[in-house]
Amino acid sequence: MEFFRTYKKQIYRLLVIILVLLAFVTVGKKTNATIFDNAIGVVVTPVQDAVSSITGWFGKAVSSVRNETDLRKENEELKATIALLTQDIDRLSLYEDENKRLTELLEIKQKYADYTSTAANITAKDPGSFYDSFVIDKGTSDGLSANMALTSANGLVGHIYETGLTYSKAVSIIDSRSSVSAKNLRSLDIGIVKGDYSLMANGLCKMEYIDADADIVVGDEIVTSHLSDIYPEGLTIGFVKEVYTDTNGLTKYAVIEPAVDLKHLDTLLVILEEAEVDK
Amino acid sequence: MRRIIVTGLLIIINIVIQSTLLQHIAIRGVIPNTAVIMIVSFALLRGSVSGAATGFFAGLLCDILFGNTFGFYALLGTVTGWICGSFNTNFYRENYFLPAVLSCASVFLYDCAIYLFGIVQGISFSYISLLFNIILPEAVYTAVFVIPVYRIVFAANEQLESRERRNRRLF
Repeated sequence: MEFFRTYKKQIYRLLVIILVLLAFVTVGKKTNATIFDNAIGVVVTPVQDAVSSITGWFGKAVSSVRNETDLRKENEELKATIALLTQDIDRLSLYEDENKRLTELLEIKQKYADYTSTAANITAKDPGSFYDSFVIDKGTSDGLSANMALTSANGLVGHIYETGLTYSKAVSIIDSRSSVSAKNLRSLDIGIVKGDYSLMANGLCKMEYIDADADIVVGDEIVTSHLSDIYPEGLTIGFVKEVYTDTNGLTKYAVIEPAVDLKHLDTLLVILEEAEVDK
Repeated sequence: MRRIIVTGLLIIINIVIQSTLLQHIAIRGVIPNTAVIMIVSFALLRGSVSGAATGFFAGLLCDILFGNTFGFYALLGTVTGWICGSFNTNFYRENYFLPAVLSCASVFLYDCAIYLFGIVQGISFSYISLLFNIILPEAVYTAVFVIPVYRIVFAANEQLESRERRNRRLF
């Protein structure tokens, strides 16, 4: 002990010199850890591991709390944008539907362009359950008269049987009282399209007096023929759904599905010209 | 005078509602025939002559608006009103049973009459399919609607009669 105390300064100087020499000698030569380094490293590094994982966990928890309010705000903003966009989509699809409907109505005016026509709305339907007639809101003051044909975008709807000053009474093609002279568009075979009470409930009608040799199959398009006094020629009535032979064997009859959905009629066109009897 | 106006108004409102609103509650194409209910109700409350007059005008309105022959529905309405009016005596007014049964039977006969008239016009219906698809459902549906319609007619009639009674007591 005294030795160290008396020669303190010398020992200190010697230590410094030895350390400097060691540093110069071993610089750049260290590759593998020596035994001392290993011993200390093996003990210290797991503790370091544990501490840094705990601090990492805390850090993540804090940052997630901070982010949650941000995420929530962003979510709200996105939801509001989606609601606005959905409203736009709804509005635009309504416009699209209206556009389609009006185009169809325009097309039918162009399809029957040689006939002058005017639009009318249905205001009331027959409250009885036997017949399918209705009242439209135009009358003689608008130029209508009895026996004018009524059509819709897809085809024939019926005809007017009585007109008043501001209203008209019309009957549809599936009504039992209505009969339309018709022909098969493909094979030009003639028949009469009549309404039948039992088919009317399903929205269908019957085509009768078809010749037994006539060429008519399911899916044929039926149009008005030139033989009718009331209806102009060429108006689509509907499509053949079923074909049967009558019990007498001489005629056939077919069940026709009208091209117009008669249960959901919207705007109608009244064809103002009387049909020409014979061309 | 007031009686005529009120009755007329009720009949007109009924026709308007029957041909527009009630169409939307059709079950398999059948709607209640509220015009017949009105005729039967008025006839039960007031007697044969009044009932026949109400039936005539209600039927005439139907003819003008929806018929294609003049006077057919008017005839049916008059007959219905007259026959139902004969049940007027000893009729307990608060009870819905007689109006319901009479309306049911009236609608049944009404539809059978329309069927016969259709045959006369040359339209052929099959009676059996008509019976089960239209006539019976309509009779049942009409009977259900008797309750509100008769209530309204009864209330209106009570108002009118109490006013007339008050006027009569003045001298």
